[in-house]
Amino acid sequence: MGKKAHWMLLAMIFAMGMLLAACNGGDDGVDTDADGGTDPDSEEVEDDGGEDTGEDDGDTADAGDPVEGGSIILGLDGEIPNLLPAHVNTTQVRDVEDILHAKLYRQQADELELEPYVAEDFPEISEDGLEYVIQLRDDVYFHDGEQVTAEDVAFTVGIWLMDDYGGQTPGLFDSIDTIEATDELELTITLSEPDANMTFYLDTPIVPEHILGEYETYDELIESDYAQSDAVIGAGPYSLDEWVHGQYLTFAANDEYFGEGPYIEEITYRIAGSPDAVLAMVQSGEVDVANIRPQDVSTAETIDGYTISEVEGVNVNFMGFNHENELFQDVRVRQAIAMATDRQGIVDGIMDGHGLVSHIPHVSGGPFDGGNNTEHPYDTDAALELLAEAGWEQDGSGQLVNEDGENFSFSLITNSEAHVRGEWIVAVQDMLNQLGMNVEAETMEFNAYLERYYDGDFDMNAGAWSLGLYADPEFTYHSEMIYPEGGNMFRYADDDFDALTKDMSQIVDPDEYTQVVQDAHAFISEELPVIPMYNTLEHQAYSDRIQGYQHHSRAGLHRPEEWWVNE
Amino acid sequence: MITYIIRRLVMTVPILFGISVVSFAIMMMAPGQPAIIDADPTISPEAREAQIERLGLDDPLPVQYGRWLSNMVSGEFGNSYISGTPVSTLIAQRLPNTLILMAASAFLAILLAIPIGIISAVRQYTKTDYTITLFSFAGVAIPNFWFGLLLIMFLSVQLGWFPVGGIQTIGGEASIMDRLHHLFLPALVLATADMAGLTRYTRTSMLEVKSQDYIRTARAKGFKESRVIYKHALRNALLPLITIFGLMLPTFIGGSVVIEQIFSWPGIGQLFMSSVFQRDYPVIMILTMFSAVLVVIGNLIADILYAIVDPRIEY
Repeated sequence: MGKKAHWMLLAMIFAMGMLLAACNGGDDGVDTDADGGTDPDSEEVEDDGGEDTGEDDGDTADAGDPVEGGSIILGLDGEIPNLLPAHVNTTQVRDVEDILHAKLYRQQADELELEPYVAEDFPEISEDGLEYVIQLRDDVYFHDGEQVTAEDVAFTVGIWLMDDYGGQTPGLFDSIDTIEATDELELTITLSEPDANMTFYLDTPIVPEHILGEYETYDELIESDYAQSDAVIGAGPYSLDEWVHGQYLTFAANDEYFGEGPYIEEITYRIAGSPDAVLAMVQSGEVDVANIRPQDVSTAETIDGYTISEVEGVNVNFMGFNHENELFQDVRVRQAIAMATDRQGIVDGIMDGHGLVSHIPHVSGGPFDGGNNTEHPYDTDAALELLAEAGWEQDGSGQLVNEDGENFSFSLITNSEAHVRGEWIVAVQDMLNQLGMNVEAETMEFNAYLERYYDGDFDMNAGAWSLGLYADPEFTYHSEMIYPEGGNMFRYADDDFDALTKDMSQIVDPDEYTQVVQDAHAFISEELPVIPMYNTLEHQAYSDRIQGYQHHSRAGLHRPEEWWVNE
Repeated sequence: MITYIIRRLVMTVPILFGISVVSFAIMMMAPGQPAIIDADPTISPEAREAQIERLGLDDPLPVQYGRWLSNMVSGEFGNSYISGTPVSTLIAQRLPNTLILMAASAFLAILLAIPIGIISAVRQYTKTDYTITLFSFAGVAIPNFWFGLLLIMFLSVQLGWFPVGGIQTIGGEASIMDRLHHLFLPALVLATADMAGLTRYTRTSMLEVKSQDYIRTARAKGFKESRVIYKHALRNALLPLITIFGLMLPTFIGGSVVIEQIFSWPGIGQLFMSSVFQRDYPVIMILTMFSAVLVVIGNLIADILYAIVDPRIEY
């Protein structure tokens, strides 16, 4: 009897599993995970890149007129820790802010440029570039019915200027001397010195002063319910309905929204444990929209009921040199390495074609691409010639040696979270070793990588920048900006480049500024302080129910207030 | 007995102190800065310094440790760097989920492993035994993240029997069945390795007991085989398992770190992972200490239970 009893028990447990399996009919929750988390796949460097390539039009699905109602679910692969705009700057948090908050300016639907949002127009800037006057629209209201005023904007920016500020973007508004509401709907900003990118910084959520104004310190602000719970209030197309930490956030359509839409009644951001979990949620139909990693695209394409959208990413992968290393001080060596690296081959062979080779450390063909760049096409013979000119010749065994008989050996590091990069640095290692170099490719955890990158403890690195709508090459390559003074991690110092970009951030005229950026990029494409690799193509899966879909690499859901669903 | 428990409890103090020192040192020696500081290379040196100072990370390590310890002892767990939330709140949000998962998988492991182990022992050297042995070794050898993904792929994605993750249907009615439905796969995967190990232990222990004289005596008296096995042998065979189960507790915590990622289970394992990657020191330390306390308590309970079930043992 005993044996039987045990088999019965097993059978019962199995039956229990089946029973549970059978009761799954109920969940039609469609989560859409749009955005990778704080993915160390690319550093969030708003600063280096210039512009986004906003090509979001590729996949506009439309069928008739918008209808109101319905709900969609977005799958996110990272937690939302805090919703105080000044605090955490991850893609997931920005995805929430995009639909919850209104901003003075926002990126255009399909160009990599700003457009006025809550502001009536672009700022009126004084001749010396120190005073900005901005008029606000008079029809913008917070979710609690209070009007959005210049006071609110001044208060929001003031959060960054608090003494005990402790968020991820300190110094963002450091060039501001005073910011005040000179009328109910007129904001006046005075700068201590001109700042070419000030308008871009105003692409930041506006929070209600009448609620948050009672908190006196930054610590009180981040601990408040208005940063940590569903009490968060904005003026965007959707209001926060429910926030269950670690699980999901639900948003309800804001009927008083001042722009077009919203049509979809309810949007849920579902938080998954990992990108794999997000993909599985798409495969099982549990989410409606989700970002798809390059390596998962072919899998995602086979899922019924979804369309895969592809847009050019606003980012660039690059290989940087440590210019304190004597090996790389000769420009011919850097050019030779670029020419020995088959970038198109990497994009085709390793990226499955989901990338575009770039010759500038920015979006190729974007606003900061002047078109007058130097290309270094794949050509190993030419590379060897350049190396020979620089004093490196192949010896009998094919190893590169200089006249002192030293080998050409160095290490190339990257972080392991960016799987694709980990793969292609091995390909690069192989390509360079065939030339007779002795390259050691090293992959490590993101924080370990960052520490070595910041400390200059590397020979070459492979990294990526997630770019903003503006570019600041001075900050990244000027000799006075060598870390920690600025963002020049490469310890690059070149007098011509310095002269070209010196104080460029004080240029007030946007066209003139863009011209300098383009010139700087052309300079970089020739002198190669870093080797630009490629811009990735980014993918999102969206349910066929969704109409009017738009896609932008900088947003989890791009303008979902203009979407609608066919139930 | 009481004095034994008290002595053991007193001993946990230096143990936990040692663990905290080592964990703190390892955490601080790991490369990289907290993400709240390091996320953005565009930060000016002054702003970076200010941040480091604000978080007290510029003090010598012993000073930082001392501050942490005194806060800890006075019950102040601090706030997460990233979310600004008190760590106690973060744990309160997530601990129940992890405990549910752990309890369910422990339940599953015991419920399945002991009967299977007994069958395996009773039918030693039969096909049944070999099959069970094969699966046990497979269960120990298969990495649970892989097994989890496999089950998601087949049972959730292909067959649609189970949700792919989460603890409940979003926006649905919160029913017990719905929760169990979400719980089944992660609990099963988390239980697998321990289940396999436990099966082997049960088998071995059972075989050992079976060969003892008193079992032969029982048989000689003409008891039915089932009575010999279940009444006489099993109780003694289970004794060593109690210790083993106490030692299994920590593996549930370790396993939950991985399983919670895969099944989007919002528990402390998930919190621990993200805290480590973000170098969120206050959260890392509390969670480490929490696991340490669980381990110590698990061992203690095992020892006490052992004394209770085995009257020969006295402390």
